[in-house]
Amino acid sequence: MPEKRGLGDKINDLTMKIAEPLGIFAEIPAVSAIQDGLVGCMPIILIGSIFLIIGTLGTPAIGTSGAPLIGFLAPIASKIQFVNGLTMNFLALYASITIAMAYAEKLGVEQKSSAVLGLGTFLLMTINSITDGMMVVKPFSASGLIVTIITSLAAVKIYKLFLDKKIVIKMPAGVPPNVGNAFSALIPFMFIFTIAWTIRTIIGFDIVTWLEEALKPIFSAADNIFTFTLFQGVKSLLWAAGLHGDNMLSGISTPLVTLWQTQNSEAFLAGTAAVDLPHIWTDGLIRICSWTSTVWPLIILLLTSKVKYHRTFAITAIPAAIFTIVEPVIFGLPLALNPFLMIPFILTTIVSSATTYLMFQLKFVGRFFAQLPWATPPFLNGPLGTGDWKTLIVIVINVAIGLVIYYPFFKAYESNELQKEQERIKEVSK
Amino acid sequence: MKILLICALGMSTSLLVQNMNKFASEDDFIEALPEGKLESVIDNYDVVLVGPQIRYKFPKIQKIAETHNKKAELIDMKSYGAMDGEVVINQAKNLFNK
Repeated sequence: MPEKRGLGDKINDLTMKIAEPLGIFAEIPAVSAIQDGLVGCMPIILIGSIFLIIGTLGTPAIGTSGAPLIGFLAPIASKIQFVNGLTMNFLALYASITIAMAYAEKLGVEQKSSAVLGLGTFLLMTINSITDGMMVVKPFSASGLIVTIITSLAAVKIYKLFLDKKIVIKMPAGVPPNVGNAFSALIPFMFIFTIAWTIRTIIGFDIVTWLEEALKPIFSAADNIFTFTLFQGVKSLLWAAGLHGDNMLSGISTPLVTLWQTQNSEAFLAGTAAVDLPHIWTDGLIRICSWTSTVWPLIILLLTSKVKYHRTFAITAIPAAIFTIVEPVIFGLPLALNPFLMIPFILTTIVSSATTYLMFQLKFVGRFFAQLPWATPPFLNGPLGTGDWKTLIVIVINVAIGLVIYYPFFKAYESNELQKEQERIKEVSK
Repeated sequence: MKILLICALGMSTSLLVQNMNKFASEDDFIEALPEGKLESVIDNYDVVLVGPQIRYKFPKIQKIAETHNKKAELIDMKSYGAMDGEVVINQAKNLFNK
Protein backbone atom coordinates (compact mmCIF):
# COMPACT_ATOMS: atom_id res chain seq x y z
CA MET A 1 0.00 0.00 0.00
CA PRO A 2 2.44 2.69 -1.13
CA GLU A 3 0.03 5.63 -1.02
CA LYS A 4 -1.07 4.86 2.55
CA ARG A 5 2.50 4.62 3.75
CA GLY A 6 3.11 8.01 2.19
CA LEU A 7 0.28 9.42 4.26
CA GLY A 8 1.73 7.91 7.44
CA ASP A 9 5.08 9.50 6.67
CA LYS A 10 3.39 12.84 6.09
CA ILE A 11 1.64 12.64 9.46
CA ASN A 12 4.95 11.79 11.08
CA ASP A 13 6.67 14.77 9.43
CA LEU A 14 3.85 17.10 10.46
CA THR A 15 3.97 15.82 14.02
CA MET A 16 7.70 16.31 14.27
CA LYS A 17 7.20 19.91 13.15
CA ILE A 18 4.75 20.42 16.03
CA ALA A 19 6.86 18.42 18.48
CA GLU A 20 9.97 20.53 18.12
CA PRO A 21 8.57 23.92 19.24
CA LEU A 22 6.49 22.17 21.91
CA GLY A 23 9.62 20.54 23.27
CA ILE A 24 11.43 23.89 23.30
CA PHE A 25 8.47 25.58 25.04
CA ALA A 26 8.26 22.87 27.70
CA GLU A 27 11.98 23.26 28.40
CA ILE A 28 11.69 26.95 29.31
CA PRO A 29 12.68 26.91 33.03
CA ALA A 30 9.68 28.99 34.16
CA VAL A 31 7.22 26.83 32.19
CA SER A 32 8.56 23.55 33.48
CA ALA A 33 8.81 24.98 37.01
CA ILE A 34 5.09 25.85 37.00
CA GLN A 35 4.27 22.37 35.82
CA ASP A 36 6.63 20.60 38.23
CA GLY A 37 5.40 22.75 41.10
CA LEU A 38 1.75 21.95 40.38
CA VAL A 39 2.54 18.27 39.94
CA GLY A 40 4.19 18.47 43.36
CA CYS A 41 0.83 19.63 44.75
CA MET A 42 -0.97 16.65 43.24
CA PRO A 43 -1.33 14.79 46.58
CA ILE A 44 -3.09 17.87 47.98
CA ILE A 45 -5.54 17.90 45.06
CA LEU A 46 -6.18 14.15 45.22
CA ILE A 47 -6.60 13.93 48.99
CA GLY A 48 -8.84 16.99 48.98
CA SER A 49 -10.88 15.33 46.23
CA ILE A 50 -11.22 12.05 48.11
CA PHE A 51 -12.52 13.80 51.24
CA LEU A 52 -14.82 15.89 49.10
CA ILE A 53 -16.27 12.75 47.49
CA ILE A 54 -16.72 10.92 50.81
CA GLY A 55 -18.33 13.98 52.37
CA THR A 56 -20.63 14.38 49.39
CA LEU A 57 -22.00 10.88 49.95
CA GLY A 58 -23.42 12.29 53.18
CA THR A 59 -25.22 15.16 51.44
CA PRO A 60 -28.22 15.19 49.08
CA ALA A 61 -25.97 16.46 46.24
CA ILE A 62 -25.84 13.00 44.63
CA GLY A 63 -28.98 11.61 43.06
CA THR A 64 -32.42 13.15 42.92
CA SER A 65 -33.96 11.62 46.03
CA GLY A 66 -33.21 14.69 48.15
CA ALA A 67 -31.76 12.44 50.87
CA PRO A 68 -28.10 11.69 51.53
CA LEU A 69 -26.79 8.60 49.73
CA ILE A 70 -25.14 7.30 52.90
CA GLY A 71 -27.24 8.36 55.87
CA PHE A 72 -24.79 7.95 58.74
CA LEU A 73 -22.30 10.31 57.06
CA ALA A 74 -24.80 13.15 57.03
CA PRO A 75 -24.06 14.64 60.47
CA ILE A 76 -20.31 14.88 59.80
CA ALA A 77 -20.46 15.58 56.05
CA SER A 78 -19.30 19.17 56.38
CA LYS A 79 -16.50 18.14 58.72
CA ILE A 80 -15.27 15.59 56.19
CA GLN A 81 -15.40 18.16 53.41
CA PHE A 82 -13.46 20.61 55.57
CA VAL A 83 -10.32 18.59 54.75
CA ASN A 84 -10.84 19.74 51.17
CA GLY A 85 -11.05 23.30 52.46
CA LEU A 86 -7.56 23.09 53.96
CA THR A 87 -5.93 21.06 51.18
CA MET A 88 -7.25 21.49 47.64
CA ASN A 89 -8.88 24.80 48.46
CA PHE A 90 -5.54 26.18 49.74
CA LEU A 91 -3.77 25.11 46.56
CA ALA A 92 -2.26 28.55 45.87
CA LEU A 93 -0.59 28.53 49.28
CA TYR A 94 0.98 25.10 48.76
CA ALA A 95 1.94 25.97 45.19
CA SER A 96 3.80 29.10 46.33
CA ILE A 97 6.29 26.75 47.98
CA THR A 98 6.51 24.01 45.34
CA ILE A 99 6.74 26.35 42.34
CA ALA A 100 9.49 28.37 44.05
CA MET A 101 11.41 25.17 44.83
CA ALA A 102 10.98 23.79 41.32
CA TYR A 103 12.16 27.06 39.78
CA ALA A 104 15.10 27.25 42.20
CA GLU A 105 16.11 23.75 41.12
CA LYS A 106 16.08 24.81 37.45
CA LEU A 107 18.07 27.99 38.13
CA GLY A 108 20.51 26.31 40.48
CA VAL A 109 19.54 28.36 43.53
CA GLU A 110 19.40 26.91 47.05
CA GLN A 111 15.95 25.29 47.38
CA LYS A 112 15.13 25.59 51.08
CA SER A 113 15.55 29.35 51.23
CA SER A 114 13.68 29.65 47.91
CA ALA A 115 10.72 27.76 49.40
CA VAL A 116 10.60 30.23 52.29
CA LEU A 117 11.00 33.11 49.87
CA GLY A 118 8.12 31.89 47.68
CA LEU A 119 5.75 31.46 50.61
CA GLY A 120 6.70 34.78 52.19
CA THR A 121 6.37 36.76 48.97
CA PHE A 122 2.97 35.22 48.27
CA LEU A 123 1.68 36.04 51.77
CA LEU A 124 2.97 39.62 51.69
CA MET A 125 1.55 40.12 48.22
CA THR A 126 -1.94 38.91 49.11
CA ILE A 127 -2.65 39.53 52.82
CA ASN A 128 -2.85 43.05 54.26
CA SER A 129 -4.31 42.58 57.72
CA ILE A 130 -4.82 40.12 60.52
CA THR A 131 -7.57 41.24 62.89
CA ASP A 132 -8.19 39.41 66.16
CA GLY A 133 -6.20 36.47 64.84
CA MET A 134 -8.27 36.25 61.67
CA MET A 135 -7.47 36.92 58.05
CA VAL A 136 -9.19 36.50 54.71
CA VAL A 137 -8.01 33.23 53.16
CA LYS A 138 -9.57 33.75 49.72
CA PRO A 139 -6.13 34.40 48.11
CA PHE A 140 -5.09 30.84 49.08
CA SER A 141 -7.80 29.32 46.91
CA ALA A 142 -8.05 29.01 43.12
CA SER A 143 -8.42 32.80 43.00
CA GLY A 144 -4.79 33.20 44.07
CA LEU A 145 -3.27 30.56 41.82
CA ILE A 146 -2.17 32.95 39.08
CA VAL A 147 -0.75 35.32 41.70
CA THR A 148 1.22 32.53 43.33
CA ILE A 149 2.74 31.57 39.97
CA ILE A 150 3.83 35.18 39.40
CA THR A 151 5.15 35.84 42.92
CA SER A 152 7.07 32.58 43.26
CA LEU A 153 8.70 32.83 39.82
CA ALA A 154 9.52 36.54 40.17
CA ALA A 155 10.87 36.18 43.71
CA VAL A 156 13.22 33.33 42.85
CA LYS A 157 14.34 35.09 39.67
CA ILE A 158 15.18 38.28 41.59
CA TYR A 159 16.92 36.22 44.28
CA LYS A 160 19.04 34.60 41.58
CA LEU A 161 19.91 38.03 40.10
CA PHE A 162 21.08 39.25 43.50
CA LEU A 163 23.22 36.15 43.96
CA ASP A 164 24.69 36.49 40.45
CA LYS A 165 25.53 40.17 40.96
CA LYS A 166 26.86 39.28 44.42
CA ILE A 167 24.60 41.82 46.15
CA VAL A 168 24.66 39.76 49.34
CA ILE A 169 26.19 39.92 52.80
CA LYS A 170 29.47 38.06 52.71
CA MET A 171 30.63 36.07 55.68
CA PRO A 172 34.32 35.75 56.48
CA ALA A 173 35.97 32.41 55.74
CA GLY A 174 35.46 29.88 58.53
CA VAL A 175 31.76 30.60 59.03
CA PRO A 176 29.78 27.38 58.41
CA PRO A 177 28.13 27.41 54.96
CA ASN A 178 24.59 27.13 56.38
CA VAL A 179 25.06 30.20 58.53
CA GLY A 180 26.55 31.98 55.55
CA ASN A 181 23.53 31.07 53.39
CA ALA A 182 21.11 32.45 55.95
CA PHE A 183 22.87 35.81 55.88
CA SER A 184 23.47 35.92 52.15
CA ALA A 185 19.70 35.63 51.71
CA LEU A 186 19.00 38.71 53.81
CA ILE A 187 19.44 41.51 51.25
CA PRO A 188 17.50 39.88 48.39
CA PHE A 189 14.74 38.74 50.80
CA MET A 190 14.49 42.24 52.28
CA PHE A 191 14.24 43.75 48.80
CA ILE A 192 11.61 41.29 47.50
CA PHE A 193 9.48 41.32 50.68
CA THR A 194 9.53 45.13 50.76
CA ILE A 195 8.20 45.32 47.21
CA ALA A 196 5.42 42.81 47.93
CA TRP A 197 4.47 44.53 51.19
CA THR A 198 4.49 47.97 49.55
CA ILE A 199 2.20 46.84 46.75
CA ARG A 200 -0.32 45.11 49.00
CA THR A 201 -0.28 46.90 52.34
CA ILE A 202 1.07 50.41 51.67
CA ILE A 203 -0.49 51.10 48.27
CA GLY A 204 -3.37 48.71 49.00
CA PHE A 205 -3.41 47.12 45.56
CA ASP A 206 -5.45 43.90 45.66
CA ILE A 207 -3.68 41.88 42.98
CA VAL A 208 -5.80 38.76 43.55
CA THR A 209 -9.09 40.47 42.74
CA TRP A 210 -7.55 42.56 39.99
CA LEU A 211 -6.00 39.60 38.17
CA GLU A 212 -9.13 37.54 38.64
CA GLU A 213 -11.22 40.26 37.00
CA ALA A 214 -8.67 40.92 34.27
CA LEU A 215 -7.88 37.33 33.35
CA LYS A 216 -11.15 35.59 34.06
CA PRO A 217 -12.65 36.27 30.62
CA ILE A 218 -9.52 34.98 28.86
CA PHE A 219 -9.05 31.89 31.00
CA SER A 220 -12.70 30.98 31.13
CA ALA A 221 -13.05 31.47 27.40
CA ALA A 222 -10.31 28.90 26.79
CA ASP A 223 -12.60 26.23 28.26
CA ASN A 224 -14.80 25.68 25.21
CA ILE A 225 -15.65 22.88 22.84
CA PHE A 226 -13.37 24.15 20.06
CA THR A 227 -10.16 24.59 22.04
CA PHE A 228 -10.82 21.30 23.83
CA THR A 229 -11.31 19.41 20.58
CA LEU A 230 -8.30 21.10 19.02
CA PHE A 231 -6.18 20.26 22.06
CA GLN A 232 -7.31 16.62 21.96
CA GLY A 233 -6.70 16.48 18.20
CA VAL A 234 -3.12 17.76 18.49
CA LYS A 235 -2.53 15.38 21.37
CA SER A 236 -3.71 12.37 19.38
CA LEU A 237 -1.58 13.46 16.44
CA LEU A 238 1.45 13.34 18.73
CA TRP A 239 0.48 9.93 20.10
CA ALA A 240 -0.15 8.69 16.56
CA ALA A 241 3.50 9.45 15.85
CA GLY A 242 4.48 7.57 19.01
CA LEU A 243 5.15 10.61 21.17
CA HIS A 244 3.74 11.16 24.65
CA GLY A 245 1.10 13.73 23.69
CA ASP A 246 -0.19 14.31 27.21
CA ASN A 247 3.28 14.95 28.49
CA MET A 248 4.22 17.28 25.65
CA LEU A 249 1.16 19.48 26.05
CA SER A 250 1.02 19.51 29.84
CA GLY A 251 3.21 22.62 30.02
CA ILE A 252 0.29 24.49 28.50
CA SER A 253 -2.62 22.56 29.94
CA THR A 254 -1.61 21.78 33.54
CA PRO A 255 -1.92 25.35 34.95
CA LEU A 256 -5.30 25.91 33.27
CA VAL A 257 -6.83 22.54 34.03
CA THR A 258 -5.64 22.69 37.65
CA LEU A 259 -7.17 26.16 38.00
CA TRP A 260 -10.46 25.01 36.51
CA GLN A 261 -10.62 21.87 38.65
CA THR A 262 -9.97 23.88 41.82
CA GLN A 263 -12.63 26.42 40.86
CA ASN A 264 -15.10 23.58 40.33
CA SER A 265 -14.38 22.06 43.75
CA GLU A 266 -14.69 25.47 45.38
CA ALA A 267 -18.06 26.12 43.69
CA PHE A 268 -19.27 22.63 44.56
CA LEU A 269 -18.35 23.10 48.23
CA ALA A 270 -20.25 26.39 48.17
CA GLY A 271 -23.37 24.49 47.10
CA THR A 272 -23.39 24.68 43.29
CA ALA A 273 -24.97 21.62 41.66
CA ALA A 274 -22.55 19.42 39.68
CA VAL A 275 -24.26 20.18 36.35
CA ASP A 276 -23.87 23.94 36.93
CA LEU A 277 -20.16 23.97 37.89
CA PRO A 278 -18.18 26.69 36.09
CA HIS A 279 -15.88 24.37 34.12
CA ILE A 280 -16.29 21.40 31.82
CA TRP A 281 -12.66 20.86 30.83
CA THR A 282 -11.00 19.02 33.70
CA ASP A 283 -8.64 16.07 33.93
CA GLY A 284 -11.62 13.75 34.46
CA LEU A 285 -13.20 14.87 31.19
CA ILE A 286 -10.09 13.81 29.29
CA ARG A 287 -9.97 10.53 31.19
CA ILE A 288 -13.47 9.46 30.22
CA CYS A 289 -13.11 10.28 26.52
CA SER A 290 -9.51 9.85 25.39
CA TRP A 291 -8.56 6.19 25.72
CA THR A 292 -12.09 4.87 26.14
CA SER A 293 -12.81 5.91 22.56
CA THR A 294 -9.48 5.02 20.97
CA VAL A 295 -7.73 2.13 22.69
CA TRP A 296 -10.66 0.26 24.24
CA PRO A 297 -12.61 -0.23 20.97
CA LEU A 298 -9.39 -1.26 19.28
CA ILE A 299 -8.85 -3.96 21.89
CA ILE A 300 -12.42 -5.19 21.35
CA LEU A 301 -11.79 -5.40 17.60
CA LEU A 302 -8.49 -7.19 18.18
CA LEU A 303 -10.23 -9.76 20.37
CA THR A 304 -12.53 -10.64 17.48
CA SER A 305 -9.79 -10.52 14.85
CA LYS A 306 -9.10 -13.46 12.54
CA VAL A 307 -5.40 -12.96 13.15
CA LYS A 308 -4.26 -15.14 16.06
CA TYR A 309 -1.51 -12.74 17.11
CA HIS A 310 -4.13 -9.98 17.48
CA ARG A 311 -6.21 -12.01 19.92
CA THR A 312 -3.30 -12.99 22.17
CA PHE A 313 -1.96 -9.44 22.02
CA ALA A 314 -5.33 -7.97 23.05
CA ILE A 315 -5.59 -10.24 26.07
CA THR A 316 -2.16 -9.21 27.35
CA ALA A 317 -2.96 -5.52 26.77
CA ILE A 318 -6.26 -5.50 28.70
CA PRO A 319 -5.05 -5.19 32.32
CA ALA A 320 -2.91 -2.08 31.68
CA ALA A 321 -5.53 -0.56 29.36
CA ILE A 322 -8.20 -0.71 32.08
CA PHE A 323 -6.01 1.71 34.04
CA THR A 324 -5.56 3.79 30.85
CA ILE A 325 -1.92 2.76 30.47
CA VAL A 326 -1.82 2.53 26.71
CA GLU A 327 1.85 2.31 25.77
CA PRO A 328 1.69 -1.46 25.15
CA VAL A 329 -1.00 -0.88 22.49
CA ILE A 330 0.53 2.29 21.06
CA PHE A 331 4.00 0.78 20.65
CA GLY A 332 3.35 -2.95 20.76
CA LEU A 333 0.68 -3.48 18.13
CA PRO A 334 1.87 -0.92 17.07
CA LEU A 335 -0.72 1.78 16.71
CA ALA A 336 1.92 4.48 16.37
CA LEU A 337 2.90 5.13 12.74
CA ASN A 338 0.56 2.34 11.67
CA PRO A 339 -0.69 3.37 8.22
CA PHE A 340 -4.06 1.65 8.78
CA LEU A 341 -4.81 2.76 12.33
CA MET A 342 -3.41 6.29 12.63
CA ILE A 343 -6.30 7.92 10.76
CA PRO A 344 -9.17 6.34 12.74
CA PHE A 345 -7.21 6.97 15.96
CA ILE A 346 -7.05 10.71 15.32
CA LEU A 347 -10.60 10.89 13.89
CA THR A 348 -12.07 9.06 16.86
CA THR A 349 -10.34 11.33 19.35
CA ILE A 350 -11.74 14.40 17.63
CA VAL A 351 -15.31 13.07 17.36
CA SER A 352 -15.46 11.64 20.86
CA SER A 353 -13.91 14.74 22.45
CA ALA A 354 -16.45 17.04 20.83
CA THR A 355 -19.33 14.67 21.67
CA THR A 356 -18.25 14.30 25.28
CA TYR A 357 -17.80 18.03 25.76
CA LEU A 358 -21.22 18.66 24.23
CA MET A 359 -22.91 16.20 26.58
CA PHE A 360 -21.40 18.04 29.55
CA GLN A 361 -22.30 21.42 28.07
CA LEU A 362 -25.92 20.38 27.55
CA LYS A 363 -25.98 19.33 31.24
CA PHE A 364 -26.77 15.74 30.38
CA VAL A 365 -24.18 14.78 33.01
CA GLY A 366 -22.70 16.43 36.10
CA ARG A 367 -19.30 18.07 35.79
CA PHE A 368 -16.18 17.01 37.68
CA PHE A 369 -16.03 18.46 41.19
CA ALA A 370 -13.19 16.16 42.23
CA GLN A 371 -10.02 14.90 40.58
CA LEU A 372 -8.83 11.33 40.91
CA PRO A 373 -5.41 9.86 40.06
CA TRP A 374 -5.10 9.72 36.28
CA ALA A 375 -4.69 5.94 36.21
CA THR A 376 -8.10 5.42 37.87
CA PRO A 377 -10.22 3.28 35.52
CA PRO A 378 -12.55 5.70 33.69
CA PHE A 379 -15.70 3.82 34.73
CA LEU A 380 -14.79 4.65 38.37
CA ASN A 381 -13.27 8.06 37.65
CA GLY A 382 -16.45 9.37 35.99
CA PRO A 383 -19.06 8.41 38.60
CA LEU A 384 -16.80 9.27 41.58
CA GLY A 385 -15.50 12.55 40.19
CA THR A 386 -18.90 13.87 39.13
CA GLY A 387 -21.25 11.97 41.44
CA ASP A 388 -23.23 11.15 38.30
CA TRP A 389 -23.66 7.54 37.12
CA LYS A 390 -24.61 8.83 33.67
CA THR A 391 -20.90 9.36 32.98
CA LEU A 392 -20.99 5.59 32.32
CA ILE A 393 -23.32 6.28 29.39
CA VAL A 394 -20.79 8.81 28.09
CA ILE A 395 -18.10 6.13 28.22
CA VAL A 396 -20.30 3.60 26.42
CA ILE A 397 -21.07 6.18 23.71
CA ASN A 398 -17.34 6.84 23.33
CA VAL A 399 -16.55 3.15 22.95
CA ALA A 400 -19.32 2.93 20.32
CA ILE A 401 -17.94 5.94 18.42
CA GLY A 402 -14.56 4.24 18.37
CA LEU A 403 -15.97 0.92 17.15
CA VAL A 404 -17.84 2.57 14.27
CA ILE A 405 -14.93 4.72 13.09
CA TYR A 406 -12.27 2.01 13.47
CA TYR A 407 -14.28 -0.79 11.86
CA PRO A 408 -13.57 -0.26 8.13
CA PHE A 409 -9.94 0.66 8.77
CA PHE A 410 -9.50 -2.29 11.08
CA LYS A 411 -10.92 -4.72 8.50
CA ALA A 412 -8.35 -3.53 5.97
CA TYR A 413 -5.62 -3.90 8.59
CA GLU A 414 -6.89 -7.34 9.58
CA SER A 415 -6.87 -8.74 6.04
CA ASN A 416 -3.42 -7.30 5.44
CA GLU A 417 -2.09 -8.95 8.61
CA LEU A 418 -3.93 -12.18 7.84
CA GLN A 419 -2.20 -12.35 4.49
CA LYS A 420 1.16 -11.82 6.18
CA GLU A 421 0.38 -14.51 8.73
CA GLN A 422 -0.55 -17.05 6.06
CA GLU A 423 2.59 -16.24 4.11
CA ARG A 424 4.62 -16.92 7.22
CA ILE A 425 2.87 -20.25 7.74
CA LYS A 426 3.64 -21.20 4.11
CA GLU A 427 7.27 -20.26 4.62
CA VAL A 428 7.51 -22.52 7.65
CA SER A 429 5.77 -25.48 6.04
CA LYS A 430 7.97 -25.34 2.94
CA MET B 1 25.06 -3.34 36.22
CA LYS B 2 22.80 -0.43 37.03
CA ILE B 3 20.31 0.46 34.32
CA LEU B 4 18.22 3.63 34.29
CA LEU B 5 15.10 3.78 32.13
CA ILE B 6 13.83 7.26 31.36
CA CYS B 7 10.24 7.92 30.33
CA ALA B 8 7.44 10.43 30.81
CA LEU B 9 6.01 9.46 34.20
CA GLY B 10 7.59 6.12 35.01
CA MET B 11 4.27 4.23 35.01
CA SER B 12 4.26 2.05 31.92
CA THR B 13 8.02 1.72 32.01
CA SER B 14 7.77 0.17 35.46
CA LEU B 15 6.04 -2.73 33.70
CA LEU B 16 9.09 -3.10 31.50
CA VAL B 17 11.34 -3.03 34.57
CA GLN B 18 9.36 -5.94 35.99
CA ASN B 19 9.91 -7.94 32.80
CA MET B 20 13.59 -7.02 32.63
CA ASN B 21 14.15 -8.22 36.18
CA LYS B 22 13.18 -11.74 35.05
CA PHE B 23 16.29 -11.76 32.86
CA ALA B 24 18.57 -9.83 35.19
CA SER B 25 21.39 -11.31 37.22
CA GLU B 26 21.58 -10.75 40.96
CA ASP B 27 23.85 -7.73 40.92
CA ASP B 28 21.77 -5.93 38.30
CA PHE B 29 19.64 -3.01 39.35
CA ILE B 30 16.98 -1.55 37.06
CA GLU B 31 14.86 1.51 37.71
CA ALA B 32 12.40 3.68 35.74
CA LEU B 33 12.29 7.42 36.42
CA PRO B 34 10.79 10.50 34.74
CA GLU B 35 13.07 12.64 32.61
CA GLY B 36 13.17 15.51 35.13
CA LYS B 37 15.11 13.37 37.63
CA LEU B 38 17.83 12.37 35.15
CA GLU B 39 20.44 15.01 35.91
CA SER B 40 20.40 14.49 39.67
CA VAL B 41 20.57 10.66 39.62
CA ILE B 42 22.50 9.74 36.48
CA ASP B 43 25.79 9.28 38.33
CA ASN B 44 24.32 6.30 40.21
CA TYR B 45 23.81 4.30 37.01
CA ASP B 46 25.92 2.67 34.32
CA VAL B 47 23.67 3.10 31.26
CA VAL B 48 20.57 5.09 30.33
CA LEU B 49 17.78 3.82 28.08
CA VAL B 50 15.04 6.15 26.86
CA GLY B 51 11.39 5.30 26.17
CA PRO B 52 10.25 5.99 22.58
CA GLN B 53 7.37 8.21 23.72
CA ILE B 54 9.80 10.94 24.77
CA ARG B 55 12.24 10.51 21.89
CA TYR B 56 11.84 14.22 21.14
CA LYS B 57 13.83 14.76 24.35
CA PHE B 58 16.58 12.34 23.36
CA PRO B 59 19.09 14.96 22.12
CA LYS B 60 18.88 16.69 25.51
CA ILE B 61 19.20 13.40 27.41
CA GLN B 62 22.14 12.42 25.23
CA LYS B 63 23.88 15.68 26.09
CA ILE B 64 23.35 15.20 29.83
CA ALA B 65 24.62 11.62 29.56
CA GLU B 66 27.73 12.74 27.69
CA THR B 67 28.66 15.34 30.31
CA HIS B 68 28.37 12.60 32.94
CA ASN B 69 30.37 10.14 30.82
CA LYS B 70 27.47 7.73 30.42
CA LYS B 71 25.99 6.08 27.37
CA ALA B 72 22.34 6.61 26.39
CA GLU B 73 20.22 4.94 23.74
CA LEU B 74 16.57 4.87 22.62
CA ILE B 75 14.51 1.75 23.24
CA ASP B 76 13.08 0.55 19.97
CA MET B 77 9.30 1.04 19.69
CA LYS B 78 8.38 -2.57 19.04
CA SER B 79 10.26 -4.08 21.98
CA TYR B 80 9.06 -1.28 24.25
CA GLY B 81 5.45 -1.93 23.27
CA ALA B 82 5.86 -5.66 23.70
CA MET B 83 7.43 -4.90 27.11
CA ASP B 84 10.12 -7.36 26.03
CA GLY B 85 12.42 -7.53 29.05
CA GLU B 86 14.97 -9.83 27.43
CA VAL B 87 15.59 -7.69 24.36
CA VAL B 88 15.85 -4.48 26.38
CA ILE B 89 18.22 -5.86 29.00
CA ASN B 90 20.45 -7.20 26.23
CA GLN B 91 20.35 -3.79 24.60
CA ALA B 92 21.54 -2.28 27.88
CA LYS B 93 24.36 -4.81 28.18
CA ASN B 94 25.50 -4.27 24.59
CA LEU B 95 25.42 -0.53 25.10
CA PHE B 96 27.49 -0.83 28.26
CA ASN B 97 30.10 -3.01 26.57
CA LYS B 98 30.39 -0.77 23.52
